[in-house]
Amino acid sequence: MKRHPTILCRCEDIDDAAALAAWDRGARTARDLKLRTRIGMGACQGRTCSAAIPGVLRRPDVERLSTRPPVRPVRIDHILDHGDEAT
Amino acid sequence: MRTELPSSSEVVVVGAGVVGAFTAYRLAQLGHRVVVIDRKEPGLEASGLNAGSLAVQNKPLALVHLAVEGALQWERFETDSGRTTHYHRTGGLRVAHDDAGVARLQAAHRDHTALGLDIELIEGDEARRRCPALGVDVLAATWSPYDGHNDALTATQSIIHAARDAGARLVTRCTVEAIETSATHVDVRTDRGVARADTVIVAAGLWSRRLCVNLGVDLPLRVRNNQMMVTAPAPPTLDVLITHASGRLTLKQVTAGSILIGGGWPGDGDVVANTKRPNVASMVGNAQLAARIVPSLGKLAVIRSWAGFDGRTGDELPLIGPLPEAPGVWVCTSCYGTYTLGPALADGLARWIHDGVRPSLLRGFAPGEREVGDRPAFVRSS
Repeated sequence: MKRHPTILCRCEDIDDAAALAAWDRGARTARDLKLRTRIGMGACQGRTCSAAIPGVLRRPDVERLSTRPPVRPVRIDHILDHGDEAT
Repeated sequence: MRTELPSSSEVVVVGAGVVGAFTAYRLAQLGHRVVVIDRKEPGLEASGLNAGSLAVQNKPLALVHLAVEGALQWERFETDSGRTTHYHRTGGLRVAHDDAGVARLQAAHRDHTALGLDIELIEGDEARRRCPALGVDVLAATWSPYDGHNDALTATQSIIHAARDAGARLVTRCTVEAIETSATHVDVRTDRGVARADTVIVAAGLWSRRLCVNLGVDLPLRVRNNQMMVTAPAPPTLDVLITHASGRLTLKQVTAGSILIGGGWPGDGDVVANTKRPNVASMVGNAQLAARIVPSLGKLAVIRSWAGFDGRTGDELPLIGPLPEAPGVWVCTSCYGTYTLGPALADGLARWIHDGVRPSLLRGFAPGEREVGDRPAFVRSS
């Protein structure tokens, strides 16, 4: 039976096969995977896919991707609107 | 999988950032047995946390030739090694939106022309013709054909691969505890044993200061914390590198379509714990300048921001060369625009060590050769 890939990172459209292939080529940390595949570099910054990575790889010891601010994408003109609050 | 620390070699490089990795790459090519040691993994600090700008025209005059050489070395690296850093020599516009900025551009144009470098001073309308995304506030710009950018996130890793191809060895997750000199060799004491070498190069960015303490050398490095932002992918907006007369803005669009916004705005952080995060006021200030220069950025969303530590002398010029107090130990510190200059500093350092003669580009920058300003308070970092 043909196996259909499962989308792992929706933002960057990376499936489990791509993550497994990157692991086979020598990735050993979540950050390696990110650099090789762009997994976790899209709008959600890995907040959706990060938890699924150890399961897909069957490597429970792989740490979560580090997350960076902002928590959600923020439009630049909204950042400008908040200038008074920040300073 | 851990690589064992070789007990002896010719050269040990401490720090797998751009400078350390590139020095190892060049020394290995010149036939030396080189080991690179890093406390973590390659390129995790300033080398991988900057915005990847490779600009020549926004550097202090004393560093312009090194910046040109740096851009050339970055370019040559890809053909020499067959590995990519996603380098694009796009050319760059350094823009001004007020009279003080225009005066700075005029002075830089005069100085760069006197050095024999290509640079063009143009009016706002001409700048907008070359880069239609620029807003009406841009009064003037200088154009440099040398400016470009690459991908800082992966570049150091590529240099390390090239260094290993050339025969260098990399030992990661190995913390250097002390460097000790003697008449015949230098010992690098680590948490994984001792590596003995003829020559040790300290290229550990901000952490170089701590590494030299037991040699009786206090490198006068000040802590810098620079932050960056990146937007969601956008339609084609910028095909050149944008910098600003004030030095407070860099903009580029990368292959994935995202726009990187930088400019050396200070982040928050704790040097001792090595934690860093963007400062909100800096995000606002950086975003204000960015949207003033390229108004269409306003409707783009910032998806990620980060900050990184760097350590520079007060005059922001490099300290590069042998330490007079410690035979066999060499340093290369960060400076203004280290990411652009890095491969030029590294190539010069490798040739200096190999030939025993200092390349002319590095003249004036050795430890002990100049007054670099006051020594900042020491922050003990892990």
